[in-house]
Amino acid sequence: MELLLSIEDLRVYFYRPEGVLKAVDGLSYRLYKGEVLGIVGESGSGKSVSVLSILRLLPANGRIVSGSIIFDGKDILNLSREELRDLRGKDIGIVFQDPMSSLNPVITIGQQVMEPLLWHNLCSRSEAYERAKEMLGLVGIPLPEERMKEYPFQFSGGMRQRVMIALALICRPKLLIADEPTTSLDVTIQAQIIRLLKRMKEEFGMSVILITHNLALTTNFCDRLIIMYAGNMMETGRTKDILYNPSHPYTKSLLDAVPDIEVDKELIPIPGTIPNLIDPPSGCRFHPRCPNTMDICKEEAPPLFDIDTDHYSACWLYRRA
Amino acid sequence: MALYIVKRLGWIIFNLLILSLIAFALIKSVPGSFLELQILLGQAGTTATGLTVSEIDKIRGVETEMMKRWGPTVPLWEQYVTFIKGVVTLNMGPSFRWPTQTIEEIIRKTFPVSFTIAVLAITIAVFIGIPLGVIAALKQNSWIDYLVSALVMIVSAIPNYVMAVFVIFLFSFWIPILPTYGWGHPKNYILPVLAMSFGPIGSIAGYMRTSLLDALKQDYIRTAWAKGGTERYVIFGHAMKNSLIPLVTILGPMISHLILGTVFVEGMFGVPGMGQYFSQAANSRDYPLMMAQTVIFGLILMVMNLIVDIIYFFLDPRIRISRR
Repeated sequence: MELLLSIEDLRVYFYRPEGVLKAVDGLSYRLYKGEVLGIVGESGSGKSVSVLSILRLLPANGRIVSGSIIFDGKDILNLSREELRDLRGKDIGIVFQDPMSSLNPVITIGQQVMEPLLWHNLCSRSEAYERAKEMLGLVGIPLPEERMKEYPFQFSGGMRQRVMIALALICRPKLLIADEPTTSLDVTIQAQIIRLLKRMKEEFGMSVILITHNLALTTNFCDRLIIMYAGNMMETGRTKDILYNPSHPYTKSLLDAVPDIEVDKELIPIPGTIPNLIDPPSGCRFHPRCPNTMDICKEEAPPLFDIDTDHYSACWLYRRA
Repeated sequence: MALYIVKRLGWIIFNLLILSLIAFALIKSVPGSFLELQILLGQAGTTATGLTVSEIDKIRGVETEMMKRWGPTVPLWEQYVTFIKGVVTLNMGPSFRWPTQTIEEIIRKTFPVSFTIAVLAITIAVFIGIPLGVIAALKQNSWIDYLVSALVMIVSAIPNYVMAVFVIFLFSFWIPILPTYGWGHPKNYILPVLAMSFGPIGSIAGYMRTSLLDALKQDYIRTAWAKGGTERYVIFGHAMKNSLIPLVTILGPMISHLILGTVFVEGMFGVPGMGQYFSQAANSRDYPLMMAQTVIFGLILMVMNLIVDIIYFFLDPRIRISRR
């Protein structure tokens, strides 16, 4: 498979009055063309920050302090503003968590969907209009031509997220980033949106990064998963390997916390809270909450150990003697 | 939209009635009256009301007219009805203080002057204040931002009559190109307009800065960057649109206050505007003029608010569509 995105040892720090918050601390992963990668973790695990870095859309106090991001042969961290602008919206589309606040309330839906095409000078205004209409139909907006004249407040939450997906895909990007696309939606709508993303993936064949804290959403969609905790990768592997054969204690606890309608099981919450990333725990960052803590966990951060084919776990339990 | 405006005009009339009633009651309950001052006048000479002997003679001529409208034997409700009738039929009778002029004459003469100055001042303030605010917001925490913020604070804190002294110094004393006092030449407008525009420049720049900074923090601006927008597209195509909407709300009251609240500046430059007349009306217990002034101020404020709402209607689709 052909490589699309490769992130090496990414460190993203936030400079706050209280100190330096290490939101992402040494993250590396690869994404191949046509692949769907899920990044799963609790809030504050650094999953959103890691993808916002790809577009260099971090808040003003956030800085990429080291590492490299190579997208489609381009070194993102060394691009000029102009080159970066050229990538955004054209080669990389992004869907954010809250479709209400992510759309401009005083600009028509049609205009907002057409803008990526117009801003990148990809086509004329009339052609952009036609393409926006077609795309809105494709993402399941009924009567797209009428609805293009309307404003975000006239759309329901699910419909707004469809609009966000339409404007992220209108330039046929090579990569679609979906940053918790279903978190602010009704449960019934969540499945529809994931199904829509899957359909769009089949239609356009782009690579997808799906960020979520809900493992259940990844099952039928993602080829591969990354489990993140406190700015570090805990485990990565093919989706079915992670779901059916989890190796890391954190992944296991995550799965224990997911309700399953078919199996009558007890939900076990993970004890404790996510650590303060200004002063993170020593060694493995999960050790204060881990049921299998050993002495070495407190002293040294574990590297990724081989579990299986393409399946790695950052846990000292898998150190070979 | 037409129905909405008609409805609003109905409300304005209703509110004006309430306002005039309150004003009438308040003014009537204040101790001292113009007629009492007249009696004092007979004993103590012309100093009490500042009227000259010849003016007092003229008063005698309109005395019967005034006694008929406002005399002590006329019941209060009748005085109120007379007043309202006067407002509606534009026949409010003579002023007490300027008995040779009717109230509508005074307003017809002074309103255009005050209005022109206010509109010019606000126009200047908009054209200077908005760019200043935008620059400060875009260069947040730079020296330009600090400079603009300091200027905003200074011009907002200094009253316009002090600004008047400043502009007189600047343009009549150091660079003597403009007259300090007088009326009749377009040049006479420049200094009062300048003096009055400083305050609004400060408020508009400050408001614009906050409003644009707030808009730039919104999620939809991040979306616009993510779509590949340049500064021009993101800031002027998206953020400005949203930040101008709240700014419009402060412009209406600002104009109303400029029209009427400029007594000192008018006095300093000898501008024959409404402020002058109205401040003297209060001093001399000129009830008819005071009440007319209250109603006019109310009317200006409400009409300005209506205009603001109509502009809002065109700027903000959320309002436009919900009222359709």
